[in-house]
Amino acid sequence: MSKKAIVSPKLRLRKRIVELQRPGLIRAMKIDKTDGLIRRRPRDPEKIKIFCKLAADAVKEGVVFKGKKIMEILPWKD
Amino acid sequence: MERLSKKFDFFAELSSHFPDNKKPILVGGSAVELYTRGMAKSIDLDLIADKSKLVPMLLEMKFKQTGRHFYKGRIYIEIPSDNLAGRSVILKYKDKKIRVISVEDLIIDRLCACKFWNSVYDCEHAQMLVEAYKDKLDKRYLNKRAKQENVGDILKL
Repeated sequence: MSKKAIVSPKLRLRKRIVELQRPGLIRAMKIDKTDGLIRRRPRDPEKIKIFCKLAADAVKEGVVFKGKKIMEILPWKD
Repeated sequence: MERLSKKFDFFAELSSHFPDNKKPILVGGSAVELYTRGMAKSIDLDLIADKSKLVPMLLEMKFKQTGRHFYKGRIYIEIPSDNLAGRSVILKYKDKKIRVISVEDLIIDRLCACKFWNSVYDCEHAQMLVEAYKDKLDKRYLNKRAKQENVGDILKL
């Protein structure tokens, strides 16, 4: 098997990006903390809406307020 | 039984060794994770604390240090600064008191990363926090901070 064949597609992609040396891409690569893959564009707005709704539900379920003040955050299932 | 990320258990335990006004302040991605109760994820614990007190304690707990980063097992801590430019709140978590950056200041922090670092990830976090806490936010303070940090144009309440 040639050496080239054992390089994973993910690593090849990373190397290609570094080769390109495009400042925007490099900046995004440094900042993105998700999974090592680069995300330069926002996710689908619908998906974000769902995430926001889920977060709001999680807060409703497990954050204890006194007026507007947060008093306690209850544990959640991972 | 409900299970929470081990890092928050550790953070609560660590905080219990400090008086209220000296407790380390949770900031960054883990603060977003805590406020959204796990809807956003972060690996490390970013803490604002008096390094002269916290660092010896971490080293005594056998944490390994590289600069401002400390790690032990699967717990990774960064101490980015001694001072928080903003408000912090004390809240209860598993019967222990912890100190966390205020939701308003956390939103501003995420918006700064969104605007000035072009970090899509942080834009989403800011949006999630605004949506989840929209009825509880101190909007006057939030708008003031947004103006100060020049992120008023992307703050959508």
